[in-house]
Amino acid sequence: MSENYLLEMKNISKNFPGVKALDEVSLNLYPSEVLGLVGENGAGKSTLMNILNGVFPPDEGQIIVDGREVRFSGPLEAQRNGIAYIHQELNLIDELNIRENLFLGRELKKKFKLLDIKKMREQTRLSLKKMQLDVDPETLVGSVSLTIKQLIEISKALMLSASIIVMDEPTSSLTDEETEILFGIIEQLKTQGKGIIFISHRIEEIFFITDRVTVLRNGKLIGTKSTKETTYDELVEMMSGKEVEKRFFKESSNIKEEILLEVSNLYGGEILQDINFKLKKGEILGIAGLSGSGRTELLESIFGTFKVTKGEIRINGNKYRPTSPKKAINKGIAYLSEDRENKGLFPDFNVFKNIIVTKAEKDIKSSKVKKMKPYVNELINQLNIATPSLEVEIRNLSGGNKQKAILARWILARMNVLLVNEPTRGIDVSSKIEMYKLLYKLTKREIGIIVVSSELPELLAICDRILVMYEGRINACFDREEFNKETILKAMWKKSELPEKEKSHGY
Amino acid sequence: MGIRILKVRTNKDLVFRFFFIAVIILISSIFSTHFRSQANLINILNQIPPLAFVAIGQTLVILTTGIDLSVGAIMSMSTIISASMMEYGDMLSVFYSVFLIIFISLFFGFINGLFIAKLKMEPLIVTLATSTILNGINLFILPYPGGYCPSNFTNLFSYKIFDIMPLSFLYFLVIFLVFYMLLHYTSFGRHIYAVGGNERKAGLAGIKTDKIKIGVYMLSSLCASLSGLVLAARMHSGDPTAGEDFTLMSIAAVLIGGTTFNGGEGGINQTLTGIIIMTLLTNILNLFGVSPFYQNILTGLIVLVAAIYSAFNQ
Repeated sequence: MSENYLLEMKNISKNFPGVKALDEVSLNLYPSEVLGLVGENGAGKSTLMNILNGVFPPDEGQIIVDGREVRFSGPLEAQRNGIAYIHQELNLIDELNIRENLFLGRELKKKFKLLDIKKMREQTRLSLKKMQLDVDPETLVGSVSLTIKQLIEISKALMLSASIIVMDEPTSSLTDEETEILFGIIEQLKTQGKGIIFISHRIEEIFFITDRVTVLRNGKLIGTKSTKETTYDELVEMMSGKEVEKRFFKESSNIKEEILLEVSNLYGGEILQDINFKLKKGEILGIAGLSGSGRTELLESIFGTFKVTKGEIRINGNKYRPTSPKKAINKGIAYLSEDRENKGLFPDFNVFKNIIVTKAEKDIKSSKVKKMKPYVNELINQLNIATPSLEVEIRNLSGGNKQKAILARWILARMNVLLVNEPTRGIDVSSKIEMYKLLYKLTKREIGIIVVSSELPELLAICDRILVMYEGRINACFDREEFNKETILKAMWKKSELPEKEKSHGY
Repeated sequence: MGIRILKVRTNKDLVFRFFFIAVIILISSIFSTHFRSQANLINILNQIPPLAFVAIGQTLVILTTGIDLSVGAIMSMSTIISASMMEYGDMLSVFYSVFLIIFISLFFGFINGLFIAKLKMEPLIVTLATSTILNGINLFILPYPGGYCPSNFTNLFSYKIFDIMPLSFLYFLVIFLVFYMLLHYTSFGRHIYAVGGNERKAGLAGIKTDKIKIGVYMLSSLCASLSGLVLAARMHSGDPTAGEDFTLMSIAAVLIGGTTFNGGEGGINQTLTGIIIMTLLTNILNLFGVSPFYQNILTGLIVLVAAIYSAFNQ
């Protein structure tokens, strides 16, 4: 039986100073198979994959590729042996074009060691075509979207004739439609006999694309299941090790009558057109749409980082003209960016400083900052932020806890409008549920929340209303009673015919 | 995906700069009869090579997000050895001296690269240190301008083809072509851009980034030593401070050309425009009798404008 495996990792153990990162974990992969690898953050998924990729050696255990035992000295050797690891943070150089990236480090040459640019361009064009990408090989990688980058990375793996492709959270920053393209490609790879290890936090995707799932928890193998024979609840239980609330159901809403934020006839940049909507106190308003539909730009235009060309915004009835984040914050508007690592955190500052920073900037004297510690501690307890102490540098926290710390920052600074972009990107399932609960809890404080998300189930779970954007306009609006996945998806994909009257009075 | 604009490398900036150069030439030709004289043309052709060599080398270094402050000292060293080792004036001693100069420059470039690549030290500090050391050695060998370069040596650079084009300018054309090919048609050249774009990712793609960096500093030193040879041939003597101004001038030419300190963007086409602009401006200001002090102020301002321009283009 075992000779059928494309890859076998047997009883792999790995110790890091003070931590047993992996404890006798085994994993195997057949040709033409997609194997899901799931587990909460810190379960050991990346450690296992890094060992496979030769980043560091295992303390114990065997790796068998194509029937022979191997031990790679580094990613390059792994690559030569047919293993391609597509990192979440893609390994492409923005300053180089697609062709140069595809051939980086193994350029084709002609006479006198000169580069054979023509041939490389031709091959690049061919492999882009295989990915159904209609892009010029000379396009600078820095200017293409994440999906295209993802597909370029896969092309690279295929060019290296990789037989085992590891994809680490490939969909975490893709929208539904982009994910579909990717899944189409994965199906193709399967028919070519490739084995794919698919790491994802999105359980729905695991069910959609994988044949078997391997579950890790705290560095231990919990089990490998055939995807068809397992259930959502079972997987979540295996991952978290306890009976957790698997899904979030909103029991009731806290909407008050007062209108908190009113946007009318808003135009912004070259994208946003004629945006009208109102946000009430205690309301969670979702914004759905494909990438490029203007979702993010809408949030940023309210926060003052995207240029508004026309229109009016009122906060609590008062006119507000967004010009800078500072002004927005003074008016009580906070923004949780989708890129929390770069735009939301001061990674080298400790937890306390990260939470206090806006409040300190706004209205307390520097001599009084220390006195805030008890408040911050209380907030940390309330929000259930798992941190050893206030003094730990925030980059050491997990994704979910980082996100909660940013929320704490805004709560402390008494914000009343929260603009949230992709609140649960890259966060594991149980933290996601906690985040949903937290957002719901915030509405009790009369905070109004606007959530942008490319995960429709998420919006369906937490929102009171969902606006659907399409090509920079609001295409449709659904109240909670009308929520229906299919109709919302349809509105995301196609311009809907709304009667003029309804359009003009806004949402 | 629709809104994003897919970018390819373009020459728009380059065209703009050449247009700027054309305007300078046009205006100067109208206002100055000296400018359009044959003597001044020869003068300009003479002035381009020393700045050009050192700036081409500097470009490679800056492309990798580094900087080489030791080029001036290498140039001075080059003039000093030329002026003190060729006293018999025979071809053999010329050959030996040039060989020695190239060897020393490569050695210092190697040291620069070694410290920067292997010990991950700041290029600014490392090259400043080697520069200071080399300057000390220079002053020790030749404390004041002097020595003598024989005609066997100077003719190698100053002989004029058709009585107009100095040999050094021909070398410049050849070297420019060679470095252009190196940057665009060899993997070494592409890897320079990759290292400048993202060193870690370049390493993960299997590029030996240390080798690239060491190579780049060695080439920069080599180019600087060539600049020194041209200077020595022009002065017929050596000068321990001959290269001093060229460190900043070379960086200025690179920046004006449009290669930025962000790395991975720009190239020697760009630097070429920087070299021409700098040379023309110096030439014109000299023709109009503007004091060197004002010239320094102007050079500084131009660098500042170039930096502002590239910052706004980000």
